[in-house]
Order: sequence, then C-alpha cells, then structure tokens
Amino acid sequence: MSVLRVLKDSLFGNLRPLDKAYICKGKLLNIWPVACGDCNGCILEVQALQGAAYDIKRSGLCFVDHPAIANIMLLTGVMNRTMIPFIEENWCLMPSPKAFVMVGECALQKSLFEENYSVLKKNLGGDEYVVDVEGCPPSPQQILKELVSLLAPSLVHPPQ
Amino acid sequence: MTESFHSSFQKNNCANFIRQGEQEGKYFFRLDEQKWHSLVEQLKEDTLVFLGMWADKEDINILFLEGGFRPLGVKITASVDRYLAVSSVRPSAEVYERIILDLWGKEAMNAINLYPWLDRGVWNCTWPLSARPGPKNEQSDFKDFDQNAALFQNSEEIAIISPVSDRNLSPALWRFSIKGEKIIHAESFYGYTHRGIIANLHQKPLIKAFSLISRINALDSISHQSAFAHAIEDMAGFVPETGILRKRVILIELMRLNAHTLHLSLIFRALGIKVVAARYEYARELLMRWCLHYYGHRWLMDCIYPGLSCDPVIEESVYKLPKEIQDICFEAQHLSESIPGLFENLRDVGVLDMNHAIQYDISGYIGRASGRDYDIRRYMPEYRLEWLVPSNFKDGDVLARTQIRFQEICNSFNIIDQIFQHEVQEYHHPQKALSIENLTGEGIGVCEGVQGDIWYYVKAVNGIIEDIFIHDPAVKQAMILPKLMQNQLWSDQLVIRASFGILSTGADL
Repeated sequence: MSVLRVLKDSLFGNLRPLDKAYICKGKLLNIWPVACGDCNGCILEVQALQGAAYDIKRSGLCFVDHPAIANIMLLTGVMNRTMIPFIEENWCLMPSPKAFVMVGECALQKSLFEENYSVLKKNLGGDEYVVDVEGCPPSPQQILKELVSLLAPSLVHPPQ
Repeated sequence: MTESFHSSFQKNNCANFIRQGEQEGKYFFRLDEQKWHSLVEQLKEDTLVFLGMWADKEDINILFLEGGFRPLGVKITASVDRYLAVSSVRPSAEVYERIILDLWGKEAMNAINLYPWLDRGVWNCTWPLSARPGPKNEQSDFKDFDQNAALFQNSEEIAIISPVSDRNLSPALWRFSIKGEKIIHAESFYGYTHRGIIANLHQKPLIKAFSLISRINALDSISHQSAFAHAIEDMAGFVPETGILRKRVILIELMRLNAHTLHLSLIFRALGIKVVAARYEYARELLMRWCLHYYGHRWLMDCIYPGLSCDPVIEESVYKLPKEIQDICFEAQHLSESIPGLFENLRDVGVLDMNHAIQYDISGYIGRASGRDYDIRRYMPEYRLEWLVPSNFKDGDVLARTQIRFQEICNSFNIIDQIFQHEVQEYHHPQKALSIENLTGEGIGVCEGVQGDIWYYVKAVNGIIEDIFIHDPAVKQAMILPKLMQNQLWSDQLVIRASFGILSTGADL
C-alpha cells in the first residue's frame, strides 16, 4: 500500500503554488509556532502557510517540531495567564540567538479581547521581539512576507 | 394502548411541570428548591433535551429544548452557593457544572465530576464572575500536573501532548497511559485559550459586541454571528426578509466548506496521505481568496448584523463559485476512495455510538455520523428542507465522520449553487433597518455551525447586555473525546482527534 501511495504522490502530488515564491538560498529560519488565546484564525493562517498552496521551503522557512531546534517563536493570540508558564518553559529551551514574532492584532495587543482575570495585556517585547504582522487575522502572504524579510529584506523590500 | 398513551403523556411531563413555575421573561420559569429536586427526579423518565446552563448573580439558569428545538428555561436560586446537579440525569451537563464552579463558584451537589474545566490555577482571582470573587490561590501550582492515579494503573508508558505543540492547533493538554500499542486511559484539559468572553460581553453595548462575537471562533465565525443576530432579532420581534436569510445561507455554507476542507486536510496529513491533503489545502486557500475578493474578509468576519447580511461585491462572476474549487475537492475525494485499504483501516476506529451521542447531546456532523438524526438547519428560517440531504453514514467511526464531511461538501456546493442561480439575484431592493441602540428584552438565536448547533441567549436593557449565554457544541464534544480513545491504538489517536475537529476556542470561550 505504501508503494501505491508513493506512486500516487509522484503522479498527482505536484500542485503549483498559488504565488510566486521568495527564493532564499543558503539561509534557514526555524520557526516554532505557539497559539495563545486567539480565535484560531491566526494560527490557522500560519498552518495554511505550511500547506500546498504556498512554497515556503524554497523561501528558507521551516516549521519545526520542537523548541530546542527553533530560532523564532511565533506567537498568535492574546497573552493568557495560563499559557505564560508554557511559553517561558519553551523559550528557555530555544538556543540563542532567538527571537519572537507576533502574528495578528491580538498578539500585538490591539485586539478586542480586553484584559481580565485570564487575559494579560503584557508586552513580551525587549530585544528579542523582532517583527510584528498586523491583521485580524493576517493572510498567509502577509505572514510569509514578514518572515522572509527577516532572512532577506531586499527580497521583500527591493532597494529603490 | 392505554399504557403507551400514559407513557407518552409522561414524556411531556417535565415541560409541563416547568411551566407550572412562575414565568420570568419570555423563556424562563422559576422553580423553588423543592420543585427543582422533583424535576431532576422526573428527568430520569423524560426525554427533555438538556442544552446548557450558566449562572447569573444568585441564579442558575438551565436551558432545555422541548422537542429538540424549542427552548424552555428554568431558573433556580442556588442557596448558599449550592444546587442539585443535573448531570446525574443528563451527563452532558457535567461540563457546564464544572464551568459554573470555575467562573461563579456555585457548586453542584451530586455532580459526576467537579474537576476544573477552565481554571488551571493561575488566574488573578477565583470565581471571577461571582458577585464576590475569591482571592488568587497562591498555593496552587499548575493543576494539570497533578498526576492522576488511574493514569499509572496497569500502564507501561505515559504520553503527554502539551498545549504548546506544533501539531496542537488548539491548545489543550492530553495525557495518555499506554500498554503495548493500546491506549488504556486518556484525559484532556482545556482552559488554555480562555479569554473571558462572557466577562468581556457583560455591560457592553449590543452594537459593539458584534466584532467580538465574530472573533470567538474563526472557523465558526459566521455561525456565531448568525446566532447572535437571530437572538437580537428575536428580542426585537423582527423577522428578516427572505433575501437576507438566503444571503446568510451562502455565508454559512462557505464557512462549512472552509472548515470541512481544513479538517479533511488534517485527517489526511495524520494518515500520511499528502496527495489528498494537499488538494484540500489548495481548495481551501482558493475558497478563502474568493471570500476575500467578494466579501472583503478571508474568514467572513463582520458580515452579519441584525436585519442585515453582507452583500458581496457585485460582479457577474460572483454568482458562481470557481469551478476549480469544486473540481479539486471532488478530485481529492476520488483519490482517497481509490487508495486500497484506506477506508477499511478507518472503519471501527474511534467509535462514538448513538446512545452516547444522544446521552451527551453530541450534535453536528459528529452526532449525525453516529446516527443521531439532528440537524438544526431544519428549523432555521434560512433553509429549505429540500436542500438538506439525509446522511447514510451512521457507524460513528472515523470513516463515517470522514464520509459525512465528503457528503456535506457536496451538499454545500449544491446549496450555494442553487441560491446563486435561482434566488439571490431577485433580492436587490433596499432592506428594512433594525435599530438596536436602545433595545430592551431577551432573545434566543441558533445556527447550525460546523461543529453543531450554536445557541445564544441575550438579555439587554437599553441596548446594554445584561446577561449572555453561548452554547458551543465543541464543549460537549471535547468532554466525550477522551472516552473514545480508550482501547484504541496509539497510532490512531491523531486521526481520531482530527476527525473530531475540535478547536479549543469553542471549548474554552
């Protein structure tokens, strides 16, 4: 059965990406996405970015399975008191140099979710905070563009 | 004959008994403590469907569904913050009793389980929505790490899936005890994405609540908007025009397509069949881009208001979904059907039988896949009965849930096509507006979302929300899912979870 699957993959598997890919050779960004208190919109857009409609491998982006091999912690959603211990624990596991990327208005504390007993409007900020992606939720193209700008700014914002 | 007449009379007894209480508002009847005890006793013999419950100041509000669709409410006063549990006769109430204890500090006596559902011990107070919130529990460590003794008994291995995990799209903590290849015990904990929606909505003007309602659960955004709009319309005694209702159907079905393609892609990724998963991912992205182009938002947020529904950008091509989306979905389905042995492997995996589906009030495609013939679209004014296709898959396993998704994708395409071709073009005249700034009263609205029936109860005074209850079916589904994991192969847990498609935003609120 596995042989048949491989055969099917090779026959039918190639779908052309919907957008032109950013090609970054020799550079790699390992991303560890973490969903906090969002509506699932942002994290599903990040998930969509990993799907067949986008060709992120050639752009040097790699979503990893463990924080110990990640350079970037990608956060979506409002900061939640319950998630903070997990985020801190994962942040400690990440090797330096490392950075945060905030995706969506909730993560940027511009959302409609107000501060209360559970939600904490806290800026993780500091030197580690490198880029924010606005939008509610931002589209995968926006997320891709901002992440690629970390690797190769000239690709996303070509010099005039 | 007499006996059956007597038993059918008995079956309606609880609704009549509730109506003997003192009426408060449109839907609720107040029962004293003695009558509530008597009602709980009678519910053992009755078929009245439990919908949900919440607290408000000193009262506990319980909503039932008479005949499965007509709301009937009971108000009881929790003397010294305690009340008799209803979970002993309606197991689906367990989760609500746990939430009430977490948020309002009112304890259900005789409850099946009162372990915290939302409160993981790190909030800045206890019972945050109670009239007298308690202090923060400084002693508490993470409650999730209390190891359950049952987890260790007879097990060889313990597996934990953390809420912070790449594969966990919706944060929840899972713990499994495994013996050999089999899971012998599973438990899940939620509350990690709890945003205090109810607290945020209290005392908010109705008009400002819509954006927040749109963002409760992105994947079911339209259903939340529609149910909330219905509740406001019910409060105002306003009946939207047919054209508006039909436009809402298009939005609801677009959302259903979005969710089903997402979850099918996750199921096939979990099975390692990338060729099919890729097609669903591709089709979903095309669909979302189409939504962005014509409705201005990929997730269709902020599209439905009371008495109104967002109109698409009018171009000739708007009256047809791109054929490519439909073709890719059908191609993916045919590819999956042609993989030898695949469907046999999914048979009898993660079975939810009909009795449990009824007992735990599991609705949506999960309930239908278990043979529970419940689709609230039949009672929604938006829909025509002939649009809804009866389901033929009732085994309650992963295969049935997957095939129902295939079927619902076809059905959604047909519904959208029929409305575009035959109905929507007729409705372009200006619509009657509904003013909600100073609305007073209470209303209930419902919409069949992706996961099942979403209900809203809203009470407002001068346009300000005084009380609100949101019923998201994901809560009950999240409660039953660990029970299905027992005696399943460890290798199947990912596909079982994907087949349920629960997002914690619905279970946490």
